Amino acid sequence: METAFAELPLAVFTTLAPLGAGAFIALAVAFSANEYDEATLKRIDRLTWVPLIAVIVGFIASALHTADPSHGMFALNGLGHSPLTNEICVGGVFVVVALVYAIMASRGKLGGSRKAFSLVTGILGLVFALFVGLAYHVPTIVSWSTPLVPIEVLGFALLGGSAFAALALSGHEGKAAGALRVLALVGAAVAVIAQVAHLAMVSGAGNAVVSGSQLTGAAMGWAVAGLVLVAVACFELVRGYKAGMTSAVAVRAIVESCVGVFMLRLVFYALFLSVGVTVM
Amino acid sequence: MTQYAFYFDTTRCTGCKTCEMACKDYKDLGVDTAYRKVFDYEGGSWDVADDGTCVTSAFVYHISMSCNHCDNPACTSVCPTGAMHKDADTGLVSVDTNKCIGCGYCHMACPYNAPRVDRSLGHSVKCDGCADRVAEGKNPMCVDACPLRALEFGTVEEMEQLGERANIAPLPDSSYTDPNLFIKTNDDAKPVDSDEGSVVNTAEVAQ
Repeated sequence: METAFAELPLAVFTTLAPLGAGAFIALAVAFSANEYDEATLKRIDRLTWVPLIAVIVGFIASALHTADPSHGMFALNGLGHSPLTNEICVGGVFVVVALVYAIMASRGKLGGSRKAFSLVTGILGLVFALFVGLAYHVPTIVSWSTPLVPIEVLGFALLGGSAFAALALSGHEGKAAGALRVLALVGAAVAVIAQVAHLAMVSGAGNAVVSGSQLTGAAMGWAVAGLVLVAVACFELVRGYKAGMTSAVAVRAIVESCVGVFMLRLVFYALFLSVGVTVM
Repeated sequence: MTQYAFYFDTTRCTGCKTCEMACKDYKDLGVDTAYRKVFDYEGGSWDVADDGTCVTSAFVYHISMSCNHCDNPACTSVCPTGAMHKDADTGLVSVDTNKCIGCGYCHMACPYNAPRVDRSLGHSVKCDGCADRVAEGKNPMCVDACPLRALEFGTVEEMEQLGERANIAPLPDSSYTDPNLFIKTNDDAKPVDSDEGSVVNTAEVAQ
C-alpha cells in the first residue's frame, strides 16, 4: 500500500470529483420526473453546491499531486494524446457548465430551461467520470489499462451521485424515487463487480519486479472494507428512497460512499503493475 | 535526423555498477536518484537426480539500463505538458523543466523505470543521454566509465549491428516503445515473457 499512500491527492481527487459530478445526473432525473414549487427548488439549489464543492475540492487536491502547479497551464498542451490532459479538459468543461448551472439556479434564473440544463450538466458529469477512468488507460501499465477502470469510476459516480442528490432532494424525490433507487443500485453493483473482476485480473498478472498476487494480497483488507462501505451506502440509499429519504440518511450515505470509494481508489493505486520493471 | 542508441553486452557485465556511479557523479545526483540502474536478474533452482547428484539451473545476469530514448516513448505520449520530448536532431528524450508540472505520469508509463519526479526540483528528472557530451562528439559518461566495455553508444545503425533490440527478461516486449537499446544476450538469457527469474535488487533500482 506504500504506492497508494504516495498518491493520496490523486485518490482524493478521483473520489470526490466523480462522486460530486454524478449528483448532477441524479438531479436531472429528479427534475425530469417532478414539478417543484419555488421554495423546494430554492432548497434543492442551495444544497446542489455541496456536490459541486466536492468536485472543486477534488480538483484542488489534484493540483497538490503535482510537483510544480505553477506550470499548470501547460497541462492543456497534450489535448488529444495525453489521457491526463483529456481528463483535465473534460473536467474543466464540466466544472464551468456546473458552475453556470448552480449560479443561475441559485439566482432563480433557470426558468423553463432547468430540465434541459440539468440534463446537459448531468451527462457532462458522467462523461467526466468516464474520462477520470480513461486517464489511466496507459498500455504499458497492465493493471490499469483495462475497461474495468472507467467502469469502476462510472459506478462510483452513480452511487455517490445518488447519495449527494439524496441530500439535495431529501424528502422531495417524488416520482423519481424509483429511478434514483435504480441509479444507486446499478452504480454499486457495477462498481463492486468491476472491482472484484479487477482484483482477480491483477492477481493473475505479474512482472519481474512484483507479482500481482503480492499486490492484491497487500491491498485486500482495504478492498474488502471499501466494498463493504459501498454496499452499506447502497443499502442506505435504496432503503431511504423507498421509505422516505431524510437528511441524516443522505449524509450517512455520502460519508459511506466517499470513504468506501476512497479506500477502493487507494487499492487502485496499490495495484500499479508495469509491463516492464518500473518500481513506484 | 540521427537517432542515437545504446548497446549493452550481457556477456561482459559483472554488475559492478561503475556506470551507475559515474553517471551519479557526473550529473551530481543525490542518494535517492540514479539515471542509470543495474538490474540483477536471478532465478533457477537445483534438482536432486535419482543417483543423488545435484543439477542446478540457477542463473544470474545483469542489465545496465538508463533511458532507452525509445522511438515511441511511453513517457512523451502521456505527458500532458509536452515537457517530456524527443529531440528532432538526436532522438534523445529529455525534460523541458520550464514546462514540467511533475505529475509523475512519465514515471508510471515508462516500462524501463527511467524518469522520476524530483519534488525538491519541481519536475521530472531522467537520463538525457549526456546530450551535452554527445554534442561535443563524446560518449555518455556511463559508456566511457564501464571497465568491462559492456556499454557502447552511437547511431542506431551502428548499434543494431552489435546486438538485438532489447527483447530479454526482465525487460518488456520491445514492441511497446521500440527502445533504442541493443543487447548482446548470454547463454542464460530468458525471453521477455519468462517467469523463471525476478529482479532481486528492487530497492536499489527504485531510485
